[in-house]
Amino acid sequence: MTSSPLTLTDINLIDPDVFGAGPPHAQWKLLRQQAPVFWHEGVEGLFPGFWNITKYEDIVTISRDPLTFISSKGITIGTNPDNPSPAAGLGKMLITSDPPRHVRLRRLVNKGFTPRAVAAFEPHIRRITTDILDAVSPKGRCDFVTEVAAILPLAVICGMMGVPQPDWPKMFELTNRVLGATDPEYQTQVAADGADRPRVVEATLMQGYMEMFQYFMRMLAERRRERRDDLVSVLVEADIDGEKLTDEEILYFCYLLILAGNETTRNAIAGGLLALFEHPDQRERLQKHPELLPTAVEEILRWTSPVLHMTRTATRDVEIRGVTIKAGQKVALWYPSANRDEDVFPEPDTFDVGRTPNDHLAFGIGEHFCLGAGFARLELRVMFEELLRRFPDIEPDGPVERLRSNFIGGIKHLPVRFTPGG
Amino acid sequence: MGGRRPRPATARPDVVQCPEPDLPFGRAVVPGRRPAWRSEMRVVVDYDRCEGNGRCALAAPEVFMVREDQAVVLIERPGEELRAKVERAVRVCPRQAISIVDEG
Repeated sequence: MTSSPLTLTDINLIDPDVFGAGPPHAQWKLLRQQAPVFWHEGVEGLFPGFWNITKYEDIVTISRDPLTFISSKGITIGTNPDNPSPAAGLGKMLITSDPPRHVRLRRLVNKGFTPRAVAAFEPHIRRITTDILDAVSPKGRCDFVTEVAAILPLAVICGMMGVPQPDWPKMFELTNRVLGATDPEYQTQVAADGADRPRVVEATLMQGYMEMFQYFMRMLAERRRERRDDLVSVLVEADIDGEKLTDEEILYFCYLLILAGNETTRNAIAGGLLALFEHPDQRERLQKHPELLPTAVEEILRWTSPVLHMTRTATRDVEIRGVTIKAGQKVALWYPSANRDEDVFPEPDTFDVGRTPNDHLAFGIGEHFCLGAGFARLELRVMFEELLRRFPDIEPDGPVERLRSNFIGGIKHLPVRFTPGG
Repeated sequence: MGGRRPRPATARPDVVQCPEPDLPFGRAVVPGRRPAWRSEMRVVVDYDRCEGNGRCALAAPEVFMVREDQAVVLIERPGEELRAKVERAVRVCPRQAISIVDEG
């Protein structure tokens, strides 16, 4: 940030470089104060302009009205509804479909994500966490993201879907390509210059998308020959009102599950540790009072809000705070902004591991409320329980590297050190 | 929400049915007949939507508990003293599965 005060003309919530420098809380704060419904120009030839929604109350109102604000025209600001990439899967996935179809699709799998189903996973999640920490323990240092934070959610979602362990690194790579396509670290081609970037981004995205589809296509054929106790088998056998899912629908389902299961909890775990590093008083408090972990997990979710935005498209003219959103226009719901809304959270910029109540929107709300929220919460709790118990002196060992993305608030690398053997 | 949360259209005694477009899934408060001098609420959970997240049981433990992956309504007609808590449960339910029916 420069010393000159930020004004509305400085608002840029598109450029991945902005996000590569950390979540733009100063911009969101300015929008909440001065323009809570703010029009942002798009990029000529790439995607249209959109309204930025930054107040908690407005995000809730919009999320609770999934027929006026639909998801099937795209859920990211970078999606062009007139010429969508197949990788955006418009109308084809749970996350990009609207009621009533969304309700029916969701019912196919939601039994696997209920609190009871999730709770049954705790021993499994603890075992994976122990294995992960055992692997780094003797070294005394590691990249916390690639060696710890990424592995737990990867192992859990791959395990549920029936992806065998040797293929986990591949899934990690492919999800990085799809959701990190705007970051040069994951791009499959080198941009000759800035002007060529959109093509490189699209190529990276498509490459990740296609390889993932090929992978799950093979898995689908295998499960049809021989069912197993995994989510892919559930999808193969599922029917909605007597109709089976098509191959395309199943593949998009797998694609969504692997992306959503992978890229979000990873960043909450890494971002949570970073938050504890940056707030030594809160860290000490949590280490002295491990019983605070449940509220600490919620505060980590509020603080990190790994999903930066989802977009919805208005199906009719709607007025919000006196501003008319026209039918067909997009609204971007900035969850990290809602989670720092001064009207909802007392001292929103204070990281408080004991914060109660904490009705954050890190998982969204309403129709599309995160299906995997229970898993994310459990993975976070178990990870921080084990981590702080075994490596109580863990500390940063180099600079943090953030993802260049306006969609996922990601951390790519977080070098840490600790006393070996913990 | 700093006490400024959007209160869904509360019952007006003369309104019997709410126009559907305003309440896409009948979540929130459905206006019914309600004498001006007294209000009585009935708590309704839509089990097609409930996924047992349990936020209601945290918001209003007197009224809700979660058993076998679903919210169980312990008091179907809670007293007015619990209204604030129940309204909070309606608001925080991630799946918009709870509604309050105001009845005379």
